[in-house]
Amino acid sequence: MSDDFDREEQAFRDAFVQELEGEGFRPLDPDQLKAAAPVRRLPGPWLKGLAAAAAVVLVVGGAGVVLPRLFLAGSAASGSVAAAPAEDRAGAAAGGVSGKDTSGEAVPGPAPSGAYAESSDWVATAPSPLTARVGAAAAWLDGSFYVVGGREPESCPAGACPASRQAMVDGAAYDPSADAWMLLPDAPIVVADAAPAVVGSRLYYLGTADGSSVAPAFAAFDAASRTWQRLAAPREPGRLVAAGDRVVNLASGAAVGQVYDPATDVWFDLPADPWPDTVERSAVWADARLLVFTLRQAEAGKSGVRRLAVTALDRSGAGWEKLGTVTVRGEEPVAVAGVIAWAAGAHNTVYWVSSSLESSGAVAAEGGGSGLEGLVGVVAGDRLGANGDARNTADLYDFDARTWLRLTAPPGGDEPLQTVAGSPSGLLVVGGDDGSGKARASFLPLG
Amino acid sequence: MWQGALVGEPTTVAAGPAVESFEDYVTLRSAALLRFAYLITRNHDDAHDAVQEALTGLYPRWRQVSARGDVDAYVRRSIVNAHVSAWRKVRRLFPTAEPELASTAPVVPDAADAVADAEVALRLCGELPPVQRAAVVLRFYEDRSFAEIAGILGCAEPTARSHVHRALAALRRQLEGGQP
Repeated sequence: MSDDFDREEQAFRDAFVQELEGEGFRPLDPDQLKAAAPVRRLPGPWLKGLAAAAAVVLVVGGAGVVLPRLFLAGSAASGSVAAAPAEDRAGAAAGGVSGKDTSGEAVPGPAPSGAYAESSDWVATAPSPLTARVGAAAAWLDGSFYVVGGREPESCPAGACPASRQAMVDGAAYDPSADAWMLLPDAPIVVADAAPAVVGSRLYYLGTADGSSVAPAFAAFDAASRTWQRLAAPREPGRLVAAGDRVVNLASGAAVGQVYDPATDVWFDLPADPWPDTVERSAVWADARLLVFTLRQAEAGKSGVRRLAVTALDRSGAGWEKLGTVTVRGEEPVAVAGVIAWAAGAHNTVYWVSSSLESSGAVAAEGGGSGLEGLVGVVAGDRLGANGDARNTADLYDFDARTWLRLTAPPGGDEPLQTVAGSPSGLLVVGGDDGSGKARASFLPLG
Repeated sequence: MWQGALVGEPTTVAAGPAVESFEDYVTLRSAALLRFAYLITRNHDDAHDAVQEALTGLYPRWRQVSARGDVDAYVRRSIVNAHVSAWRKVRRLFPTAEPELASTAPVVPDAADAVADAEVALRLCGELPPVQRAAVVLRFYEDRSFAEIAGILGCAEPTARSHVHRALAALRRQLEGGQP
């Protein structure tokens, strides 16, 4: 099948024009809407107490048994459950669980918990050699941040920009220990808005051939030889997940996705989806296995925390092992500090389960607001980026120290679509225009 | 005849000038929101219900949401969510086939006929799950980037790209006569 969808794209555009032809829509009356709006009430003391008691509810085994405890131990694969460990590993919300059910809306989020520490300040890096941009793909590998691609920054109001801003293929590596940038060869594909998968000394990028097509293109940058290689593309767009010495392209359709074997430059199909009603899926490589978290139909319309079905690719790679469900809030899981964690940015919470799926918890930061949006889900050593509060700060949760690290805003503020990348030694923010037409970049050292 | 023609709100108008009050926002943007909702719901009543629900939910949060500068994305997300919820209730009663599995793909006698193509595309839109349909509307009616679509739909950017890609692939199969 050709990657050129010009005819189909035009057909959709024409269809919508045709659909709206002759249809009239008058503005609504704001006063009527205000009168119909719900009245917001502050939660009473009992509700606050309930919130403080809640965290992740982990259900193990295929029977869907609810375990009304914060910290569970035992074999997830066998479905047996042992006593809860005494230690509150990650400083999760104390107390029991509401235990009402795991349907999502009945389980409130955790109360603010964990001590706070102030971080050091952001420092502007040496001038970046990259032109101003947003949506660059960035990752940390062997002492350097690799920043590739992106698009021209928006000079129009958010949401009002044309879709086809100039895409970029250049990139540079930043070494924070030397405060030095080094230009990279141009990428053979256009990448933006998605971090690469790091496997060995290579960074794997999923993008498109020209920035406007939706057909996937795939390439790798070898940090050791500083060379690019265009590789066989997966069948459909998706999200890359580093999986041991392989790369998984997790799809969002009926097929779960494909696995890339670097040795043969061949993609293999993952086994068929074990669920008939998948709405969304995410995945993470943890404990030397691929874990897939599936949002199923019954949970998809719910707000708040949602129950995800957990499956693992079996050792043969030929099938899925159903492990139970986990109730969390957040979009994409990440492996950090020996746990699998979800940052729910707008709610300042981090939910986690251990890699063995034996224990779980959740923590919340104080405050609310947008903060440094690109920080959400970024891993920096044993820390995970969550959202910030109305004072335009942002928070990292340190799983090792069980504390929140409150960050000040970077010099450029919280610009839309700027890129945030993490490393054990610090955070890099790249995005926007530094005033000279170059990409603004700041580094925050972490102890 | 359809090339370049735009009926309703081009993207620049959808964002428009800065609005400082909820009242201004409703006055300036609700018609565009209704068009967006209509393309997703394909029904006047459902579109009105979805927009009203989104805006009544917005009002108590206006200060917080407008301070973040993403009111349009917030409201569109609410509209999509409202429609998804309603769609699921109906779907439980009347199971629908996945569009890519539908066996009644029409054969277009003259595939170069843009009007016929649009009709096939419109029919396909009616068969798409609501989130995928919303992604297609956001891409081809509102001309939004995949990053913006992902922000509105609350999914990863590759997921937004995948929604659109699969819709285009499904349309191609239908335009080519239902071949797999």
